[in-house]
Amino acid sequence: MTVENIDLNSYLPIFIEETKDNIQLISSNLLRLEHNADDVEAINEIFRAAHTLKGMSATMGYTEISQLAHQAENLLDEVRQNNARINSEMITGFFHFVDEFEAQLQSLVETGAPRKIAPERFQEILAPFSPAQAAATEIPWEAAEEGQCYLLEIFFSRDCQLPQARAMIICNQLNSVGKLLKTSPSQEQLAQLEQLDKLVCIVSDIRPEEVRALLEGGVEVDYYTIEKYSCDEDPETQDAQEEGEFSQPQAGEDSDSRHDPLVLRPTIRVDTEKLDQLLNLVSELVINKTTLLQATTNYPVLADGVEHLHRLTSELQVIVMKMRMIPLETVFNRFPRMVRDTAIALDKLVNLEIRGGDTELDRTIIDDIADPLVHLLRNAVDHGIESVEERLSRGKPRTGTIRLEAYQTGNQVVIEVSDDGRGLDIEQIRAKSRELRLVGPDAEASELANLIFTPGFSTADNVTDLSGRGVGLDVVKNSIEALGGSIDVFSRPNEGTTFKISLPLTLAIIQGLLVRCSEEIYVIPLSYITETGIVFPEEIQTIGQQDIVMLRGKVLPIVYLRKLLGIDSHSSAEELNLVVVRYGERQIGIIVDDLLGQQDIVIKNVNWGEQFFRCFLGCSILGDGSVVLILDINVLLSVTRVREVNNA
Amino acid sequence: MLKQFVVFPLEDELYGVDIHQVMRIEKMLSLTRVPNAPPFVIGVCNLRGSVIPVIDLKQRLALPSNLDENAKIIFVNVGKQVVGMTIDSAVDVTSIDSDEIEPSPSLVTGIDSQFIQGVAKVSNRLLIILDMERVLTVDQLNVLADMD
Repeated sequence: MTVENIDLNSYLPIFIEETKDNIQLISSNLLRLEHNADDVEAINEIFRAAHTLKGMSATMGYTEISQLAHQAENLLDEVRQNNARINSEMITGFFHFVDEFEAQLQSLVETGAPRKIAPERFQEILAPFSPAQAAATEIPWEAAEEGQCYLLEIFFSRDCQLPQARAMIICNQLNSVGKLLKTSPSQEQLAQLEQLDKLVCIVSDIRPEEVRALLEGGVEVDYYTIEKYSCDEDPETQDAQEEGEFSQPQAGEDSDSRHDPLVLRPTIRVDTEKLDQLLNLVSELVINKTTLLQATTNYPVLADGVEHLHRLTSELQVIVMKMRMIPLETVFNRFPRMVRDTAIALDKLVNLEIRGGDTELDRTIIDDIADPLVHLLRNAVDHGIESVEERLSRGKPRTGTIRLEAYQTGNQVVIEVSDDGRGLDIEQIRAKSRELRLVGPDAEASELANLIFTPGFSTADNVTDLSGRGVGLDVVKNSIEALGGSIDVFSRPNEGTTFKISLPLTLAIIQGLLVRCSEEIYVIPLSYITETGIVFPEEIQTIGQQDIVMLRGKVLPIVYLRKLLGIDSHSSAEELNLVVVRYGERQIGIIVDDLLGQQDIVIKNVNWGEQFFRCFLGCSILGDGSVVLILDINVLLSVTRVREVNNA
Repeated sequence: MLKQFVVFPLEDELYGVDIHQVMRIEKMLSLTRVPNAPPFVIGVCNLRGSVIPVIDLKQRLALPSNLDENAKIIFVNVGKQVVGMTIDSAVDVTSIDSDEIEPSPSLVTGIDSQFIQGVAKVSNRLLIILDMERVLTVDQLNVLADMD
């Protein structure tokens, strides 16, 4: 697999993290198997993990690891196919795999390359499996096996007459069945020796059984050991071994390129539920801090302490929020390869540009954004970008461009997926929508474009493997809306299509403005607010049935919070407090009785009767323990229907 | 088998809730009104750091409502949902043999039978055992009708 164009090194940390996870998964499931050998699910889990490992390491070009994973997969498959029970030896064997995976990972971290697996190491790993099972795995080092070396240590018994002569005979015999590479003492020295109790030989091209037959025939050998020996031809390596040093794993072909050990800051994985608990506790603390702040305003002695507490809780709050935030990179990083593969499968030339990967989002949101993005990107490659010929005939560059861009605006994060392809075929959508009776004949292009989010709506001529099955964009839309976000599509014929996803930054603590309305207190999220001010009742005019004020020469429609919230009485104040909020593309003024100031608002949700709270983003608890409701301006205003007023 | 019920009077009748569904009983707490919600949702309260909706049980059961200073809130936990319900006053716990509970109320009671799990006689008074899940399940159509 070639992987040019893509800098794999940037994926190394992810690869390492994920491989750790997979190794962990294998280990824990092996332990499960140890308790219950019939646990099919555990075998499947291991199989899946090994498979993932194989795929990922092959992608990264780490053949050693992928072959190893391949072997593990084969062995497991053997077990599955034959319905064989896993015995404890086999589990031990699989743990040897785990050990080797870990060693490989270590090597990756330290040297940037996997270590070579010596054939004997591989034999060792396979040893616990029965020969039949082991045979089922084709050994990738069969070629190397030919040159397999053995280290033979032969100890002569004390009563052996002329052991040196005996040694020479052994040498000759060894040479006849295999290749004697080296002896210690050397064959020349042997002749001159007076006494000898040990002969060390390195032989190759020999089968251990032959050696055994040969040695066990002679009576004067006390005992012997035979073990596999790595006889690297590289003289340097051998020298190192002779000096009793370990050979350093070589970093593949480019051994001269120095690799700086990867600095992986130690991380721990934390159950997100624990993070949620922590956030809840911090929220309580924030509320308590506010209580204290209010209670101690009259006690200057306490001021310093409370001020310090205030700072600490703020910092704590920021850190806890940050702990839940992760950069979009973690999701984006997988896309270049996916886009590339998709493009190759479809025989297209596509360049993916990614920007703003460092934009951070709450973990819970990140987790659920990957699938919709994959979908949009695949669609872009499949339906958006044209074939090379088509592009050339339209006077476009051969290579299509897909841009994936993320940025933060206010407390929203926007992710845009755009391509410079053919754009949506509005006429085809129009035809299809008429067929489905979705719109009238005079529907506008933007209205038609958004029909692609309708369930079952697909205009793809040919259903490919990848997209165009008619399921999809509605699912994308649903999953984004489930995250409290929204998605829009913009398209121009022959220029391309842009999907714009807006997501909330976080779901837990916001900045809010406390406002009073009659005797009640409400929160308006600061993100909605563009400005606040004061208007006098006489400034209010009525156009049609809509009250307005002039704000810097522009018409600003106004609504009364009292009315929105079902409070009948009117305020008789001489000055009215105005909060100007964004409502879609427009601005709207909300008249409230009083502005009470801005503060951190910990959003708490009620878990019953959501339908009664649809005008509210949630609730919060103030420092005095009372509950306030957080206004969802969009819903509140959409229920009220503020009349359109011409700015003319 | 003996089952325990938290028993309280509403109007002229005795009502009971399975004790396993009752989290705690509190004196009336300060409530925050929820605008645009149906009348039986009388507000939300702060129960030890959680925001819990409170409903007026009498209104929910279509009984005449008149909360006074003796009112208490009984917090029930159904599924994972916690809701407070206002009740008039004194509360008792009674054990009833499950055999003594009549599954379908043949007697005429003041409330909609869909809210009733069963009835039993307790010291010559009729105890209406409430089906909490039904009480807390709000029909979307009803709600919309209430809101308009």
